Amino acid sequence: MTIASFTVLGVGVAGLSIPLFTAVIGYVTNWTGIWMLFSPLEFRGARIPGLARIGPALPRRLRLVPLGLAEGRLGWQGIIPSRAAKMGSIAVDKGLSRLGGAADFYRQLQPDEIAARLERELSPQVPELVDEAIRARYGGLWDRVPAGAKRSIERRVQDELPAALRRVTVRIGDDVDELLDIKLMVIRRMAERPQLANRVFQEVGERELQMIIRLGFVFGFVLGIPLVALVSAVPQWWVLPLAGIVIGWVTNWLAIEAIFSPLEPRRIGPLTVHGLFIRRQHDVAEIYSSIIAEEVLTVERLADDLLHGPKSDRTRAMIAEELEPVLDHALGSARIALKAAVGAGDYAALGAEIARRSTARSLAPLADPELNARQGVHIHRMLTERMRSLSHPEFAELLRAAMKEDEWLLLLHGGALGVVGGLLHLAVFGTHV
Amino acid sequence: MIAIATAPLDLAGSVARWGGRGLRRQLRALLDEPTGPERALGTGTADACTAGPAGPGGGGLGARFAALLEQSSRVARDDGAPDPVLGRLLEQLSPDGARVLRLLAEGGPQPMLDVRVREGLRGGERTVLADATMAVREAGVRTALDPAVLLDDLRRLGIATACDEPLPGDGPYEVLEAQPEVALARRVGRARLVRKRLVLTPLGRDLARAVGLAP
Repeated sequence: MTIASFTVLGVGVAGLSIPLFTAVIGYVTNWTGIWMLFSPLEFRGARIPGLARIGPALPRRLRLVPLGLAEGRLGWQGIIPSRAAKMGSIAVDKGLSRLGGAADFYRQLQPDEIAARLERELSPQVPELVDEAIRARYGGLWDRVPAGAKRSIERRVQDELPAALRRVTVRIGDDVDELLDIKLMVIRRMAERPQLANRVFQEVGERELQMIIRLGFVFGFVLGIPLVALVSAVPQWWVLPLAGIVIGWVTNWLAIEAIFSPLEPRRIGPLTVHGLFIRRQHDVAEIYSSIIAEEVLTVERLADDLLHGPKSDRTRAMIAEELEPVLDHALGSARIALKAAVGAGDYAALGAEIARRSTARSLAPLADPELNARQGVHIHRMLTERMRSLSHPEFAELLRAAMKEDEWLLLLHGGALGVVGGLLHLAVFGTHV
Repeated sequence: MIAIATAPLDLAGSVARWGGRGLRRQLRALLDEPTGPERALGTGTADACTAGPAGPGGGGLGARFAALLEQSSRVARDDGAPDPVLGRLLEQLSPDGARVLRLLAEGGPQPMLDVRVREGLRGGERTVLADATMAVREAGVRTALDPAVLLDDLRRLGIATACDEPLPGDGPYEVLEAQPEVALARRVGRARLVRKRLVLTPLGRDLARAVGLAP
């Protein structure tokens, strides 16, 4: 007996191979589907002449997927990285903002400790700082001041600096909503580093994602069995490609459903089914929060936003306001002479100059990884608790909202791969089963 | 005055300035004595002044208008003074409005959208959310401020306006469309998002240039 004449219940090799083909379709569909979720991080593709004109007229649905059509290009960007900014925005609305305002985050970072750290770092730099600032403003005038007088000025600045720094951190805490926009900060950061969005899923769901790819094989195989009977009953060439569409589509649909549904655990006989990612809310919350605490809402990022963000002018004005009196006291009676010599306006500018120089110098110590890790622990804990306490549907929305608009394309891609599989089977075995 | 128009170009400026001062004096006199001999000034604007409404303030406005025309009739206005329109505009601009002006001047047009809901079978539409934008927030204005009020004010001043043409690409709208207020408005019914952009008017662009904002 040759292989070609081998039959089971009257079905030959060509027929028996159908479930294997559909299983492979299912596997490849889910594998490429997951690839499409995460890769590539940046858009890859080419500008198509003339597309820029048609692009805006295309249906909204098509424009929304990360094919680049709306920009007159054709290519691909991973669904999740392309939605990173949106994911960040939703994460703030659903998770972070319910914790309270920017003030809460600021408090969690223990501003007192940060002030103490800044004081330790900045204090030894005071002589240099004052010297540079005054020289930059007044040049020769400062050179004529006797060394002893200079040192006494520097010492006074050093003495008053800790209190001034503490006043600055307290005032930032009081007005943090006017100085910091946590949501915009998260959105910017995620847009800048889309890999952070990928990490939320990849670090949490390594095992689940592998399982979905394998499940593609199983679903494809199971769906291929009734297809054998269908092909025997309707021996037409179009049956296989058509069934391929359905199988590819359904396999991808099942994969997405398996990740997010059911939202609440459901018992079916001896089994409890629950969305693969939703079931792991406890761990996902932990990892999601750690990414936010380590990469987004860190001391370094917050300080950078305070000093360079859209509201940084307010922070800088506040710092200048606090440091100017320090300079006043330090210069003591000399300030009257100085004011008379350079004019009141220029004298105020000197305060601003010192403030500018000291804030520029504060960024380096605030970027210290060890400090960031230590202060980040509190934010991490707060976020994790909050995300764990979300209801399952809320949590699912947090994860799914970013990709919801693109899911149809994943299904379509499954269908397209199904057609290819069906045609391939036809090419190998023909219509006869 | 006719002599000014025919004077050589290089002289025109100085003569105009001199003539301007003289004319202003004459006009002031005219205000006090509407029927005085200065009526024979021979300019249409002065006639309009005397023929103006009889109400107490009417004559004052007429004179101010005449002064404007007089100012505009000077061939060269090289006195280095800032454009009076921009100066007044700047006086009316709020501090938060200034932040939005800066954002629009330096960052270019900003995404904006309306949410419209289809009503009934006839296809009528109702706007449930108008002019949603993150530009005000991006500009870093005070949190207590209602963004719609600030935008209204900028529109009233003629500095910024909404334009129906959307920005190219999806990127700019992605985050805006995910905002809770947009999501809430979409839940009202069969919603349609209408993408627009918030732009500076030509006047707004002039103001931005005049105050030294660069794109």
